[in-house]
Amino acid sequence: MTEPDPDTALIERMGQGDEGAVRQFVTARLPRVLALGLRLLRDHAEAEDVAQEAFTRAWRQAPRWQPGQGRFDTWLHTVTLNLCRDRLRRKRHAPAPGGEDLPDPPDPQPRADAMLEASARGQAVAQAIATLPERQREAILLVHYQDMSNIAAAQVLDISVEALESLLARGRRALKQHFAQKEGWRDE
Amino acid sequence: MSEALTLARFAELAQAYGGEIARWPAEVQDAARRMADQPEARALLAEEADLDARLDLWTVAAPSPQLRQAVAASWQAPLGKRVRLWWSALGLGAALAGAGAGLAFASLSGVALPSGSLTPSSSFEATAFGDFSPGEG
Repeated sequence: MTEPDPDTALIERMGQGDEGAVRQFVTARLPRVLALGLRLLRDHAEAEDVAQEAFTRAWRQAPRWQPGQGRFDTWLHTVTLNLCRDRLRRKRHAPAPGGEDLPDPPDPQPRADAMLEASARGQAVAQAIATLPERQREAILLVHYQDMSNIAAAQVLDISVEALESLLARGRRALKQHFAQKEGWRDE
Repeated sequence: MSEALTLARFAELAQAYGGEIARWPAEVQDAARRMADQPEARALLAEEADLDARLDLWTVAAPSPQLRQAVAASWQAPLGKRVRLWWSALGLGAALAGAGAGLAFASLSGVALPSGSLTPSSSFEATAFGDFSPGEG
């Protein structure tokens, strides 16, 4: 099951070496790719590296892209997710310095004072999502934050739409419980 | 053909995709909007909308101008590769021309060469530019 690709003409122009199309594609897609990397890795430098690598692969893929293969954006998300998974796997297997547990990753973006409270609330959400099992976390990031359709998100995760719905429902239920227990936010 | 939307299915969809029907699968959105008038359905949407609003508090930085520039500039990399290949091809052509000139000089000057010693398909290509033998490209 595939969805029509609104980027078909743009990808074709990119494949033909149209620099304007490349800039248009970067403007449209880089924020999405970087956002996924930031939320998965929670490390700004690493997320930027992943974004750069994902686009390098996109440049190679564009001339070979065949309309009807699905959405290029879905392919780009699959590449980004896999690059992030590789980095997370390497981090998990890397020995901690001095045999101690690694500290929590630093806040990727230093914030101005006026934004500290909003940032703290956002970080609380980030921490809650980080407690989810990997597949539930990925499903929520793709559907809620990346605003992907159920079909596209299921393709990126290589699962059925029914399995995606199950991951989403379990993840959201766990988050509601998490917030209710941690902060009593529903009683505020 | 779509099945009639039940309240139970409405609840499943809300719990999976959240309180905003526009995020739900396209094929159920019309039916879901009609059902959203019912009090039970409205309550389900409101509960999920609370979680959506909570999730939306986690924002991330937009790409810096430097990153945008670096990513756009990386598009040149494949062209760079093509330029390098072009130079390699030029080098191969020059080397072949040199070899041909050497053979011509040898035949004009009466130097005897062993048979097959400079055939283009043998060690010449493999030594200078890697193995270009047919069937491996």
